[in-house]
Amino acid sequence: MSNEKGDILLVEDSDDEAEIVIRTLKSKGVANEVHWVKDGADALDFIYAKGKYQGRDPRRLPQVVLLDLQLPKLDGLEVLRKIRGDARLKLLPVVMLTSSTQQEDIVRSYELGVNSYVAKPVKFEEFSKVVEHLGMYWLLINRRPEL
Amino acid sequence: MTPQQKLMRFSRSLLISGALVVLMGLTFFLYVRSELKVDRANEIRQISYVMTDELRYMLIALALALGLMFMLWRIYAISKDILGGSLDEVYAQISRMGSGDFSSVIELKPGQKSSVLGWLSATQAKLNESERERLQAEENVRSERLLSDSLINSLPGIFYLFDESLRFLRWNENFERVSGYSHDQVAALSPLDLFDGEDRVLLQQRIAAVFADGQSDVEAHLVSRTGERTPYCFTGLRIEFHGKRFLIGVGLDISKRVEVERQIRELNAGLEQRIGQRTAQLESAVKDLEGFSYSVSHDLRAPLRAIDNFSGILLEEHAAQLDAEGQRLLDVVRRNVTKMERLIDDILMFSRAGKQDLKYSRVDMAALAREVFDEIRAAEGARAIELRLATLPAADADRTAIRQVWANLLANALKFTRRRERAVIEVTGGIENGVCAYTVRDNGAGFDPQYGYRLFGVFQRLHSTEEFEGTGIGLAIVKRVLDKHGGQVWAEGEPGMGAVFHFTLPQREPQTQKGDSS
Repeated sequence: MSNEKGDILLVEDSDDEAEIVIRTLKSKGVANEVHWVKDGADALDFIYAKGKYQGRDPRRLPQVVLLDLQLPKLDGLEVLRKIRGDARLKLLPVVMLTSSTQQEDIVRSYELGVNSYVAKPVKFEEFSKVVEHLGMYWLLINRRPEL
Repeated sequence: MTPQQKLMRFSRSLLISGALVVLMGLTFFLYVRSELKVDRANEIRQISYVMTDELRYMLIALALALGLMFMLWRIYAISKDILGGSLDEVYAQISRMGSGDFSSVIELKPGQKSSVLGWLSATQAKLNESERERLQAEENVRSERLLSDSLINSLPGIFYLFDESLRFLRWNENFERVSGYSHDQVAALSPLDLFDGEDRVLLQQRIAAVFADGQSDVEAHLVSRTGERTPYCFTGLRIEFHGKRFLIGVGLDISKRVEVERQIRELNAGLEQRIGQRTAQLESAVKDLEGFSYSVSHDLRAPLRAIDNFSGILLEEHAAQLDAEGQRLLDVVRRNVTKMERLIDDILMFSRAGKQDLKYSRVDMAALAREVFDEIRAAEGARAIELRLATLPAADADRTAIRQVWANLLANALKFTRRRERAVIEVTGGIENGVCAYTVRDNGAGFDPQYGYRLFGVFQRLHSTEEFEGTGIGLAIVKRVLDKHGGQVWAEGEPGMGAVFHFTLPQREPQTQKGDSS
């Protein structure tokens, strides 16, 4: 399938949560590289290849951004707003991956143009399934415009 | 006998006595003449003639005198009869009455009633009678005046009567006391002199209104001579007598009322301020609670997820290194994660039940109860469960919220009838006094009514989790939802005798048709 080499950008402040996601993706056979950043500012630096990601090729954009809502520095919605406000980035697939099931958060995310909103299940079996589906869908099934 | 008749009789006696006198005189004269003719030739008889002549004249004079005496006696008798007493007596009475003394009694003998004295007596009686009447009338007027004076002086407020030229005609003592003006000063005042500023204009309009429409009232400050201002309520009424129009009115001191009103306003203002403060405090408490529920949903779930997922990974990837007991212990950990997750979900649901705005619509309660029942029935497996769903009135409610009420009540009924061979759940309803009332009755475990008040509290349970699972928040959510709708919920039960839950919802609009029955 196309975009096999596409990366995933995981924006997650909790080490444990990140580990579960990354571990699950790997265990489900997702071979794509997962870049993990711990706050909103780092997420934008990664995308724009700035700061500590200066050496990165800025043209190489992730296949999908998995974005938590509550983040240090810039929160998830702020990051989303910045991405959608950038002409080059506005079509970049962004998926909210968060604990919140608050209607408010879902609505705000969609208003800002999120591509998908996924609430993380607490249970191991369910969470594994959700992460597996996410990886499958955004990396293998979904096609995104060339950016 | 009338005076006229008396006079007639008197004239008649006069005529008769006059005629008698003339007749007697004439008789003697004729007699004398014939004697003269007979005796003229006879000189001898001349002496006797002379003697006889003298005698004749004497006789005539005697007859005349007798006639006159008779006449005088008649005149006297008749006049005494007419006067009713002696002339002196009558004169004395007349002069007494002429001097204005009507007090002494005129004693009348029988037959004197129609005499002058009788007339005097009657006249005096009449004069005395009319004098008595006049005195009585005067006395009446005096008492009337006394009564009306006492009346107007006893009035709690001020009283006044003035004419169209705004001149005071009557007023009570209060008027003088309150206004500070003396009697003579009030008489020279115009009602408008007792007011100033806008009040004066207002009074002018209202006085005109009384004369035009018959009555009016007004609240204004009465300004006394010393400049003291007192709030008064005046009521004026137009009255008419002798073709002239007057304004009669009373004024009541309303300073106490005005003061109380001021205090109430102050209290209200204070109260509003306190309510404002409390509301602000409550709002901030609600905000805290919202923040709390948000962090519950986020921050408590994350560690739970970590516990469960790492336990899961451990079980999945390191199962070989764990013996059966190790695996069982990890299962216990994971079971408790499930419990905790349910608690978190319920807390969130409870906080949302109070927070969300209600979207009212007409809800077919029977259909909703049936729908919810079918949904939760599916999870119960093969049990004998009978739902007796009666005709229910439709409710004006938020459908999503009321759905939760049905879900919790029916789930409870299903849960607590689990040990019955055959569960019977009865749902009934009706409209009472503009309130829709619904009842859910089961034949389950029931509860001790002694602790019934705890049923609707958060995390309150009347059964152990080993007996019946649950977080103890379902009924708290029910109560919260119904509170928000302005409804009520209460329960009846006995251990082993099943439970009955009642809830009510006020009607927002009257309804004619009832909801569908199943």
